[in-house]
Amino acid sequence: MALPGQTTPEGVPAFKLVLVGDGGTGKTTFVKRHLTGEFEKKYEPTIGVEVHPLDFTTNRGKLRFFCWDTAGQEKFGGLRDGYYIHGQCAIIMFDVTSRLTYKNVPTWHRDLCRVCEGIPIVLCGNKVDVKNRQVKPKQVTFHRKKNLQYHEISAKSNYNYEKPFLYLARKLVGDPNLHFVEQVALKPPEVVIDTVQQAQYEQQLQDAANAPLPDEDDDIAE
Amino acid sequence: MSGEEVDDFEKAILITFAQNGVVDSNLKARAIAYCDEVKASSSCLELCLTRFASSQYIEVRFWCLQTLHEVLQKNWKSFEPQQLSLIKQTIWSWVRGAAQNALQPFLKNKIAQNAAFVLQADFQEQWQVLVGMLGEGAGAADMFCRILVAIDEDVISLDIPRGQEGVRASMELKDTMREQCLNELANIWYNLVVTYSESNPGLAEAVLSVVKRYVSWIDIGLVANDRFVPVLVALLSGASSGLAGAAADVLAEVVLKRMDPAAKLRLVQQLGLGPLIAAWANNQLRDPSAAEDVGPQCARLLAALVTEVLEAWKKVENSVVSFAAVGLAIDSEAAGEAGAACSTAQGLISALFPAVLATLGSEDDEVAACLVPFLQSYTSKLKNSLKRGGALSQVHRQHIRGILEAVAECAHYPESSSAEALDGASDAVDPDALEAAEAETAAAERRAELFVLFRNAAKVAPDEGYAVVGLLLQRLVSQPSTGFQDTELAVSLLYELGEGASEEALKAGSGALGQLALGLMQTDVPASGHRLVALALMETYVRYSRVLQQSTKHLPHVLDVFTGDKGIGHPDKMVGMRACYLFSRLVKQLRQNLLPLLPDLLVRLQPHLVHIVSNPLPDIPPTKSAQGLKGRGLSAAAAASDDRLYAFEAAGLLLGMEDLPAEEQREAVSALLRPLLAQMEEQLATAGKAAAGSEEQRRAEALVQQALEAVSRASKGFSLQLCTQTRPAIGDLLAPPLRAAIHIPQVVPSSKVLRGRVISFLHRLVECLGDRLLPFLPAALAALLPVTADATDVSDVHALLSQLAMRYKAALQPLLAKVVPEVVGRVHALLAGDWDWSGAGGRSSASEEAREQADLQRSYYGFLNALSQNQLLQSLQGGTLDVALEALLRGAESHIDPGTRKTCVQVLRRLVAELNGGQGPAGAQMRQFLMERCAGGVCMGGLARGRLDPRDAAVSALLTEVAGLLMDCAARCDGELSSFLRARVLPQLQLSPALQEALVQDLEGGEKNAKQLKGHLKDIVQAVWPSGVAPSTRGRSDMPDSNGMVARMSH
Repeated sequence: MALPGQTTPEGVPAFKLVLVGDGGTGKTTFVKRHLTGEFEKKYEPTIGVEVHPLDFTTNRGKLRFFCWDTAGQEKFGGLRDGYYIHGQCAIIMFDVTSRLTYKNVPTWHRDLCRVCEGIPIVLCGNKVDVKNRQVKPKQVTFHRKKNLQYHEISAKSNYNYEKPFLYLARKLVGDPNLHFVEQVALKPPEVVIDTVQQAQYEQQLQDAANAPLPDEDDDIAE
Repeated sequence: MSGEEVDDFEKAILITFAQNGVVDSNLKARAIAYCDEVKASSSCLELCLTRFASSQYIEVRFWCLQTLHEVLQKNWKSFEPQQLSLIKQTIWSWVRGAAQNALQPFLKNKIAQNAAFVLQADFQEQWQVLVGMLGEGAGAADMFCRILVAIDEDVISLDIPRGQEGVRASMELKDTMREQCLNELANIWYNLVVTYSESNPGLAEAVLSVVKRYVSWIDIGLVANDRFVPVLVALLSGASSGLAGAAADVLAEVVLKRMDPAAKLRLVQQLGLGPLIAAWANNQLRDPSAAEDVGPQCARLLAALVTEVLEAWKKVENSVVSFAAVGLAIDSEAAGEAGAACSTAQGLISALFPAVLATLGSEDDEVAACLVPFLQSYTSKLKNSLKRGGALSQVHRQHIRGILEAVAECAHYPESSSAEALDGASDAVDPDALEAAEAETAAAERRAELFVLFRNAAKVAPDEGYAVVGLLLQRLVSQPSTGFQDTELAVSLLYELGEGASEEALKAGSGALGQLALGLMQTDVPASGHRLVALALMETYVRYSRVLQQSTKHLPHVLDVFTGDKGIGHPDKMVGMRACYLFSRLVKQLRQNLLPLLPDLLVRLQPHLVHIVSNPLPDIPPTKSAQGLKGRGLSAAAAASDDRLYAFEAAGLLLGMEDLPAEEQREAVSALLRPLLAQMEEQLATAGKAAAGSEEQRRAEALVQQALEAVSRASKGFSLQLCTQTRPAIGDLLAPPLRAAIHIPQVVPSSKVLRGRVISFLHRLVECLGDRLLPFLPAALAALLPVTADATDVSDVHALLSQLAMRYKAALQPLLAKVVPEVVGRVHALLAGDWDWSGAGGRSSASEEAREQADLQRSYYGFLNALSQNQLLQSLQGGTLDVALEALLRGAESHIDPGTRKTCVQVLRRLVAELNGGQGPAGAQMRQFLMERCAGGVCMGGLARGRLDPRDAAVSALLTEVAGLLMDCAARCDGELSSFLRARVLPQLQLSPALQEALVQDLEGGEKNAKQLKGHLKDIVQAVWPSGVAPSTRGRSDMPDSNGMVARMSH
C-alpha cells in the first residue's frame, strides 16, 4: 500500500510496519539506524517525518517497509490505536533493562491486534548491550503464548538489526527462504556488544524454551 | 476525497490522521487542538453517537468509536438515565449494523469494544440484549465473538496488567457470569460451532478461539463433556485445518486446566484423545506435508497431554514419598489409590509414547520442539525413581531406548552444510550459502537441546546408550558410503556419551565406552574431510584421550588426523584453528605417551608452525552486522584471538619433557625458538624503519607480535624447575627472545598492543625463569617507562610492579629502591597542578584523558598497597615518601570510590605504623600529624563529606579501616586525641551532642571498642547522607554531577 505522497519505485512492494512499545524502549533509535530511511527523509521532502521508508534487497527483489515510528505519539492528538489502521506488520519493542516495559507488552499486543487482525508481529527485546539487564531471556515468554517471533536486539550496536525485518519480509512475501542479499547500510555501532555475554543470553533463551526446567542434577544445555 | 462536502470536524480529524508529511505542521497542530476541544466539550458524546453513522470516512468513524470509549470510561457513572439508554440503544444498533453489513474488521472490533463496555457495566440486562441478537445470522455470531473477546481483553484476562481496581473488576465479572450465564454461554458456543463448522469454518474457528480464552476459569464440565468433546474431536480430524488447529488449542487448554492429580487423570482418560493423536502422529510420519498446517497445534496438544499426566503422576508419587519421609503411615486404601493413579498415568504415557517419539522426529522444528521439554522431564522422573532405589522396568527401558534412537534419527546437520566454511565477504551475499549457514545454525541450536536429552537418557540406562551409538558406529565401518550427516552425528553422539560417563566405562580394556572410542580411533570414518565431521572427530578424540594412554598403538592414526589436512591443515580456517587448540589439549593429556613418536611428530608439525607464525590473522573489525558469517560452529568471538598459536603451546609441551635427553632437548628447543627470534628481530628492525602508521609498519608489527606470542605460548611447556634447576640450558635459550622483547617498546613506542604483549611476556617468563628474570627487569622497566610514557603506560607499570612485588617480595627491594622514585615522580608529573584527588574528574562523563588519569591514580594506590602488603614500603624515602603520603591522605579523605578510599586508609595505617619507629607513643610532630591529618582530616572530615552511601557494602568495609586508623591514632597519642577531637573537630561537623560524646567515649575505651566505634562512624555517614537520593552509590558516582554537566554542555 503506497501512502499518499510517498513515491515508491515501481514494482517494489511496500508494507506498512507499525512500531510500538513503551516510551524510552529505543524505537526511534532503532528506525534511525537504517541509513536509507534517513537518507530518503532528507531528499524526499514529500515524505512525512513520522514515517520512515526502510528498503531491503532480497533474493526476490527489493521491498520497502514504511515504518511508522509511534515515538512521541502524544504529540499527535491522542491518535493512539488510530495509528495502526492498515498496518500490515508490526514490531513490539520493550527494553530488557526495564521490567515495566515488558509487563506492558500484552497491552500493546491487545491494542494492536484489535486494529490489525492476524498480521505478523515480532517482539523485540532491545538494549541487550546493557550489562545490567532486568528482563532475563527465560522471563520472556509472551511470544510463545501468542505465537510471535522474538528477537533480542541492540539498536545501538546494530546487533540482530535485520532479524525482525527478515522475519516480517518472509511472512509478508510468503517465502520462508527469502534472504537479504545486500548488507543493510546501518550507522556504525555506538557500542560493541559483548559477544560472550550475548551468547550466554541466547543460550538462556534456548534453555527457557526448554521449560519446565529439568531436575537439579540433570545436564542442562551449556 | 471526492468533491463531497466535508465539514470542519471531519477535516480536522482527517488532518490529524494524515501522516504523509504533506500537511503543514501548523495546520496539523490546529487540527489536533480542535479535536481536543471537541473531546472536552459537553456535546462530545452526542457527536460520537451521531457522526459514526453519518460520516463516510473511516478515520472519522474510527475516531468516534475511540473517543466514545474514552467518554464512557470517564463518565459512565454520571450519565442521566435517558443518556444511558440512548448510548445502549445506539451501540447495539451499530452491533446489528456491523452484523448485517460489510465493515472493516477494525471498526467491528472498536464497536465490540464499546459494546463490551456497556455489557460489563450492566451485565444482567445487557446480556439478554446480546443473546437476543444471536438469531440474526452469521454476522451476529461474529459480533458476538468479537464482544466476548473484548470482554476478555478489556476486563477479564489478567495477562494484561490491570492494577488492583482492575483485578477486582475482573473477579466480579467472572463471578457474575458464573452465576448468570455460563451454562447458557457454553450452549451457545456448542450450537455455534455445530452450526457453522461446515458452512462457515472461519466463524466456527472464531468461536473456538473464544472458548479457549474462557476455559481456564469456567467449570470444565461445560466443555469437557460428552456433547462438546466429540465435536472437537471430529473437528480435529476434519477437513478444515484452521478449525482443527482451533479445536486442538481448546483441547490443550482443557488439558492444562489446573486441578488435582486424580481429577486430571480422570479428565485425560475421559477425553480419550489417545487414538486420535496416535493417528495424527502416524500420518505426520508418513506424509509430513499433509499434517503441516495443524502440526504445531496438535504437537502442543500432545505435549500438554503427556506433560499433565506426568505432572499428576509425579505429584501422587511425591505425596506418598513425603508422607513416608515424615514417618506417617499411609492406609492401604490410600496406598492402593496412589498405586492405581500411578499405573494409570504410566499407561496413558505409554500409549502416547510412540506418538511423542514420532513427533520429535518431525521435519518441522516448531512441531518437534514441543515435545523436548516433556521428554526431559520424563527422563528426570525415571532417573529420580532409580535414585530412590527403584528398578528400571522393561517399559521404561524401551522408552529410554526410544528416546535415544529418536535423537539419533533427527539431530543431523542439514544436508546443505558446506564441506568448507563461508570465507570472505563475497560468499556472505550468496543466498544459497547464507541459507545453508542459517539452516546449520538452526540445526546447531536444536541439537544442543536434543543432545542434553540424549545425555540424560543415556545416564538413566547407559548400556542402551552404548548400544545405540555402537550400532551407529558399526554402520560407519560397514557402509563406507555413509554421508557426512550420519557420520558426524554418530561421532558427536559418542562424544556426548563421554560427557556423562563414569570412570569405569571410560577404561580402554573393560569399559564399554572405552571400547567404542577405541574402535573409532582405529577407523577411517566416511566423509572424514568434511568440516563438521573433522571437528566432531577431533573433539571426540580429545574427549577420550585417556583411552589412548592405555592403547598407545592407535596414537599414530589419531596424530595423523590432527597434523594432516583433516586437522591443523584443514582448508577451512576455523577447523584448522580448533584443531590447534584440541591438539594442545591432546598433547597435555598424552605427553608421556608421545615421547617415542616425538621426532616424527615434530617433523609433521614444523610446516604448520612456520605457516602460523608467518601469517598472522588479519585484524578483525570489532563488530560486523549480524548477517553473514555467524553460527559457523566457531563464531567471530573465537577468531578474535589466534587459537592457531596453541600449536606452539603443544610444541612447547612436547619439548619441555625432562625425559628427553638433555642435548637433544636443547637442540630441539633452540631449533624451535631460533626462527621466532629471527622474525622478531628482523621485523622489529623493519617496523622501526618504516613510516609511522604505514601498511608496512603495521604488517611488520603484526609479525613481531606473532613471533613473540609464539615464544610465549611455547614457553608454557618449560617449567620453572626445568629452566632453573634440571635443565638451566633451556632457561638460557629464553634469554635472547626476552632481550629482543624488551627492545620492542623502544623501537615502536607507539604500539600499545605490542607493549601490552611485552608486559604479558614478562609475566609469562616469571613462571619459567623465576629469580633468573630479575637481572632483566631494570632494562625492561626502563623500556616500559620512556620519557613519553602517558597515564596508561604508567598504570601498566604499576600493575607489573605490583605483581612482581607479590612474586619476589624482599628480593625485589634493590630494584624498587631505584625504580620507585622514578615511578612515583611520573605519577605526580602526570597528575600535576589542578588534578582533583577525589577522583571526581574521572567519572565516565569526563574526557578520555581525565579518565585515564583517574585510572592512573587508582593504579598508583594499588601499587602502594602492593608495596605495603609485601613489606616493601621502605622503598619510599625522602621526597618520594612525602608526595606519596600526601596522595594517600587525599585519597583516604576524599576519593569518591569507597573501595579506593579503603585501600588508601589501609596503606596509611601501615605507613603510620612504620614511620618514626612504629608502635608506642609518638613524638610531638608525629602526634600533630596523627591528630590533625589522620584522625581529624581523613577519618572525621572524610566521613562527614557526605558522599558515602551507608547501605553500600564497600562503605562498611571502609568504616572498619577508618575505625582501625582512629584507634591506632588514639593509641599513639596518649589520650590527647579525644580532647583534640572534642575541641577542634567534632563541633564543626554538626553532629548531635550524643553522637559526639559516643565517639569520644569509644576512643577512650581503646581497641575493644573498635566495633562500637564503627557503628558510630556509620551514624555520621548516615547523618550526612542526603535522604531521598537514588539508592545506588556506584551508579551515582558514575553520574555527571551538575557542574560536570554544565561544563560539558558549554563545550
